[in-house]
Amino acid sequence: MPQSSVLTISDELLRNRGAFVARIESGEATALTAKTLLITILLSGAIFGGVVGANRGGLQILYAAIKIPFVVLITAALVTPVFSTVRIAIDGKTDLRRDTLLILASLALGSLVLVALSPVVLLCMKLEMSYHNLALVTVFCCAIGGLAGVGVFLRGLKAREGTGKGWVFVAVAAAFLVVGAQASWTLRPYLLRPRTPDVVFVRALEGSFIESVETSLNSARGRYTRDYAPLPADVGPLRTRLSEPQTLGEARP
Amino acid sequence: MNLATLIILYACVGTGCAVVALVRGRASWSSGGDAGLLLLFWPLYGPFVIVRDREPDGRGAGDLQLAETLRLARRTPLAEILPDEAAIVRLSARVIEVSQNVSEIDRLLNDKAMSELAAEERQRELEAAGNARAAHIVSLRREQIARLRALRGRLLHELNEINELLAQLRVQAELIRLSGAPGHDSRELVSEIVFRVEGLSAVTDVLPDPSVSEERGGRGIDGL
Repeated sequence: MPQSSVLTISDELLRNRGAFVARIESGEATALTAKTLLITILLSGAIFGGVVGANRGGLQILYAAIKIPFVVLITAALVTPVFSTVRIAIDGKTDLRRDTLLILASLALGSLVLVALSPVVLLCMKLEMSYHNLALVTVFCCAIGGLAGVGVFLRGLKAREGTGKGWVFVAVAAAFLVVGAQASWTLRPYLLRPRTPDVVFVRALEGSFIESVETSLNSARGRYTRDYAPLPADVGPLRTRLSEPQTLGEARP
Repeated sequence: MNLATLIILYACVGTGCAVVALVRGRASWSSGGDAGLLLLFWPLYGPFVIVRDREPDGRGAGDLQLAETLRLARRTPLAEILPDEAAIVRLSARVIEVSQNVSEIDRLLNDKAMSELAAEERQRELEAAGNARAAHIVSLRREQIARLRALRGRLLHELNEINELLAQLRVQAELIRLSGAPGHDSRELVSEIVFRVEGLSAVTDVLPDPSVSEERGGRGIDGL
């Protein structure tokens, strides 16, 4: 694929979203656009993941750089059929390719915004912000990226013929929220808690995503639910514990 | 079913998609790793590489089934106003031919060399480098690609309208089967379908003649 095409399509997504969406809706956007959007998500997600993983450094940079694009693409793969199905249910017709492109374009723009916000995360690391505050900054960056993506999605939805667009948006947004949150939760950690002794690719499941957000907010305010957090020196016993399911709030003597 | 089984199943489907795409010449490792993308992201990339194969028979894009609809309608009181079998075959062949043209244009527009965006970028590069003559040639190429895209749009527009008219005819045929003789509007509908299908060739005629454009391009280059 010519480099210029990839850059031109990405450039149009950033600078002229109206024309980009019109191209998708008119059926002009084709396999090259899909490929470009996929590559954009992969690269942008990897950059942001690498930056987030840099908080711990070492292998975590690679792990986070692999996981973040996959979280985005898993979400896209699961939400696109929901989008198409809801459109068929409400409007009686759909076009899988246009639906896929619109979802990919939304996520690609969100990913590009994340790359743009990467320096903010790096600055926070440089200022030695605490782990919990850094986690909130990361979530905030993702929220801004998500809002940018929602903008593209809404623009595409408005450009389409048919009825019940509001319901379609509500259904797709709900699916995004649930699937995205769970996918990111399943593939965590990205930042890695400072006291975690070993870098792990995927952590064992503990609680739900909502509970985790609540715990992070409390921890950021200095309210801890555990009496003790393990130190890197506690590697032996911890390795055994990390392989078992854990419950939030569990006291570790 | 555990995670490992899911991953194996996912990889199997991805491998299948990649193999199908490679065998049918839809993807290649050299052309930007299409097969690799399919292998990893088949739920997202598959519709663009695999589904395209359904279009050449004229039914993939618009589910256009002219002959079937007209033959169905002939079993109702509408039969007296419908064209005969020979005409149905001729009209159907015309629609399939145009559908195939649309698929062919799609295939061409998917080609890297036919990318309007790449051409635009190239033109900008050449203009920035001060090579006005080459930039003008690229602008002519862009014009040709735009004409091809416009032709595709018009053909698709016509096919969609014919498709909608056929859907209407199906409903009307059922209504007449249950309620009685066809009315004036049924005759108009059938005439409209026949007229639209026979007029498909006119769509290509109204676009500017390529030779004129080439001539214009020739003069433009010479005039530089």
